[in-house]
Amino acid sequence: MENYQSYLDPRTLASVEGLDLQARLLVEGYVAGMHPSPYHGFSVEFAEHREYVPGDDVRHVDWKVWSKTDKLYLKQYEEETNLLLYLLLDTSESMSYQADDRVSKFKYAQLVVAALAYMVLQQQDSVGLALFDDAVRRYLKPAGQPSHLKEVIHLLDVTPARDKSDLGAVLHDLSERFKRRGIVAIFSDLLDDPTKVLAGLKHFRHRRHEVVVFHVLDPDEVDFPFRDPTLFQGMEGIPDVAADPVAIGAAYRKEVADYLDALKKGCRMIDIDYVPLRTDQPLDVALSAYLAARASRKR
Amino acid sequence: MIPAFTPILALGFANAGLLYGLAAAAIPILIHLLNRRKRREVRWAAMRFLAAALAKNQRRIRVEQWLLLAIRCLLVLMVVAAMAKPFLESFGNVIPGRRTHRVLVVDASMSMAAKGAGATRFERAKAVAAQLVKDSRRGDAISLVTMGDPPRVVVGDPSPNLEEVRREVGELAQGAGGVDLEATLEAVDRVLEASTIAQKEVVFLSDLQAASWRPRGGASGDDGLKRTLAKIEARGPRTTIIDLGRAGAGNRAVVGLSAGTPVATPGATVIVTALVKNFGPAPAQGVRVRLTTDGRLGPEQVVDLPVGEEVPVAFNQQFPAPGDHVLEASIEEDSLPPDDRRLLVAPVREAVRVLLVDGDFKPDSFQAETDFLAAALSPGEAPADQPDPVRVEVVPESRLARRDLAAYDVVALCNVAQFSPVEVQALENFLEQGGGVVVFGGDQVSAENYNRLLHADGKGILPAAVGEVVGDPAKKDATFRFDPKGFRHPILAAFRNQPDPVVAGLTQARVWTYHKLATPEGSAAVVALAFDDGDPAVIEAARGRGRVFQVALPADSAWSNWPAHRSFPPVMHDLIMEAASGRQAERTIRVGRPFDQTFPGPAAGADATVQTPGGGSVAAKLKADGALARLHFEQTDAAGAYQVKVGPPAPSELTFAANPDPAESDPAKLDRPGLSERLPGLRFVLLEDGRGLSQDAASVGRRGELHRPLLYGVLAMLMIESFAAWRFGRAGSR
Repeated sequence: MENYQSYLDPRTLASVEGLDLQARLLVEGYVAGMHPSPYHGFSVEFAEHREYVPGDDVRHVDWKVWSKTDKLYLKQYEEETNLLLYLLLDTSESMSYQADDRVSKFKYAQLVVAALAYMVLQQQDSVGLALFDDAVRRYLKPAGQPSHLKEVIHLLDVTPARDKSDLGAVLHDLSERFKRRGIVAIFSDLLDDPTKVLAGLKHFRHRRHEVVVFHVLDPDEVDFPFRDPTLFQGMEGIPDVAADPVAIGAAYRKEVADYLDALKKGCRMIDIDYVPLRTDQPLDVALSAYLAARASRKR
Repeated sequence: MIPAFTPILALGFANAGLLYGLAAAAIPILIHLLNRRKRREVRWAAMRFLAAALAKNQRRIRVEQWLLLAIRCLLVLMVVAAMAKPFLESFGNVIPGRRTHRVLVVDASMSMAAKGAGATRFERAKAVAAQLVKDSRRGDAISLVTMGDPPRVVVGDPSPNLEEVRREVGELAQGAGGVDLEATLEAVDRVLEASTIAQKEVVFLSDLQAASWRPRGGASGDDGLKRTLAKIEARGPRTTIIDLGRAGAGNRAVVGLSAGTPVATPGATVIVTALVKNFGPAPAQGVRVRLTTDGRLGPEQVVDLPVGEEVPVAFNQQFPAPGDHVLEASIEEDSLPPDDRRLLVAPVREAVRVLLVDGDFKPDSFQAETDFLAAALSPGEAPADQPDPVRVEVVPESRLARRDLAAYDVVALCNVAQFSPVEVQALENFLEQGGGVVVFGGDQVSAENYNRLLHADGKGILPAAVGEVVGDPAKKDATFRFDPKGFRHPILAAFRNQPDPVVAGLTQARVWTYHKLATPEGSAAVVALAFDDGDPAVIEAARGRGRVFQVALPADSAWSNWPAHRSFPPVMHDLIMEAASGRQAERTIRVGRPFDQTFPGPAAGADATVQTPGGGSVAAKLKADGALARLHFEQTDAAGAYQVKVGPPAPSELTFAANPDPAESDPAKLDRPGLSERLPGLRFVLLEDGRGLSQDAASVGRRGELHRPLLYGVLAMLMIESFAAWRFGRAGSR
């Protein structure tokens, strides 16, 4: 028998070919390790009309409503009464940082996103996916059919671009786009001005979405373990900096701590779940965090 | 010249060449720069934190880095500076930059010839001395004295010409003698006294052999030494003693070589005895002792040498021809070669020529005074091929003045009534040249004339004044017997440990009349034979280089029946030989002592050439000394045989030998307390262990040495560096 739990380790999992298989292995591994099943008791939301946004399938437009009101509304399907999860994945260059013996932040986030999509679709819930850097690059509208997973996986299978992220703008843009209320899960290293990030997140809250921030960071970026004089080559077009890590380490760690602190506090203020993820952690932490957030929203 | 301008701070460096190493201070800077170039590269995402941290700490980090770099550069600088051994030449008024008068005292005694690690101690002493001269500062002056017996002042006046002093050091020759410590210290004191330079230093380079560092002996010698040391100390020099010796070293030496008979004649067997001593530390077995005669290999004996004992090794030696023969006893060479051989010059006489002066000459046999004596000395029984060792010539007293006494070895005066001053002078000269005089008594002796001219209150030839005649020769009523006094004197050596009948031949001889002889108080004369009432019968004394025997009896049987006894011929034979021994005495001298030899008067003014053992040739001149000619030769620093050739008008040749001082063979070494005890009152610094001394020597006597404080500074800097690096790193890792 395969030991699914070993796939909770990001490195082990990354060595498996194929993102769909990786997602499946991760979820199975996760489920195998659980005792009480968290899948029971999902309720169904009642259907409604919602406004058309570009990109929606025109087949679902309610033409009767259009004939009366001259406005485009989409018909809600019965099966769509389930939970809606928007997955937002940062594909900017900074996500490609990778220490020697670990997976990159992007790979880590990719695995978690795939696994969540797989898990949610398994539960008849709907999943949408947006890839962004300084703007939304790809968007897959939410759907609940099991076949939707293929599209999600296909869309996910990219590499980070050499672009910078502008999280604030992207979040504003997306919060405008997501009309239906649901859970918004953001996977990013959030290397941006915390006030801008928080403003974007606030926008989601304003739209009454539940928001879970998965803050993906490499341990190097938190612990700064370097000893030798190093030339730090800036990603996303930031100029290089030469520094002696021994001399600068403490100050760096203080900066990071301040930043994380601000972020955490800001999230709490606007009632957002903040989940710090380190690329050396087992992947089930992310899944558990999601499920816990989801469960709390239920109540 | 003392410069008029004295800088406040003047530094000198003992190893100035090492100052090039100051360039090493660039090493930390290079490392720093290389580190910058060789840094690793990382593609980094979280630049905003890095940039923020840098912006806030850039200044502090830069200051810390410069500080660390400065500390590291300073560390290297201090290490290099310490290696260059800097010293303060002057520092304001605290350390005046004065010139130094340095007196180098090099031990040139024989023990310094000991080899070790390829070089002798003396060569090492010279090397250290040369280094000291080389390291002297400009303006310093140096004197050079050798420790020896006698010591030699090579450079007396403080010489600022260091190059010349170095040359003198290079030309110093190893001596083979001992050390006259007191004379050496006196020489040092004289040199110090002559110098006008205020700052003085005395550096002794010695192996600290106990035998060298010893007062001349006796309590008075010690006092003289103390006085000299006090005088030296009063001049305030800094004294350094550099130890070049090695404790616990072993040595074997030939410490004595002597002939058993005073006078050797051709064909006669002479017992030559070599004394061999093992100074330890381990007993030696199977040591070969070899006797060489005139360079020809002779017999060899193998002996075992226990530690600390003198082992006599006897050889039977015969000399085929008359002349000066050089005997050499030698053992296998050890680490101290000069004392492994010892020389003895044996002047072999064709025969001992004896002039008998008869005061009562009669032609009939055994009626004259001298007949018994002549028969005893030259019995005429020897075979033709082996001539008599003693040749006797008899003359009446009237002819004494006309005889050239130089042709004889011994003059026997038998019952001579009285002497003229000319005759006395002739006898004195004869004694001065090593001749022997035997004075017999008799009925014609004028006590007044003898006492006035010959005894002269102890200043004349005779050791004893001639007193009254004891006993009546006509009545023969008194009877005295001989008291041999334990046969201690050499002339009675033949009777030692002999059976009673033989001894009775001496002790049973009957004497009925004799001269009462009285030696003045404090006289060094020896009573060789006495009468049973305690009066002396035969008195021996040294006069000049010769010997005098005074006999209380006549040489004939008028006052005793001794001449008819069997004991008379051997005693007389030995007595004559002893009297003649002055002729060959002092042919073997100790190294460094002058060689004195007198020649007959006509040789005065003659040129002489002395061939030294080293192959050199030294010219000398014979000087008139009264009626005699005297050769006084002082350059006897080398051990070995010296050949003397005297030119016309009185051509002659002789050989003498100089031997090392046996005391120098003892390798016992002084330690610091022992040295302090030998040099009471002298403050000195003892530098132990000669190894690596050429380095240390540079700092001998230096004032204001800075390398030690510099090294402490390096230590402090190292700690500061470690602390700073830890502190800065901790600040970085907080």
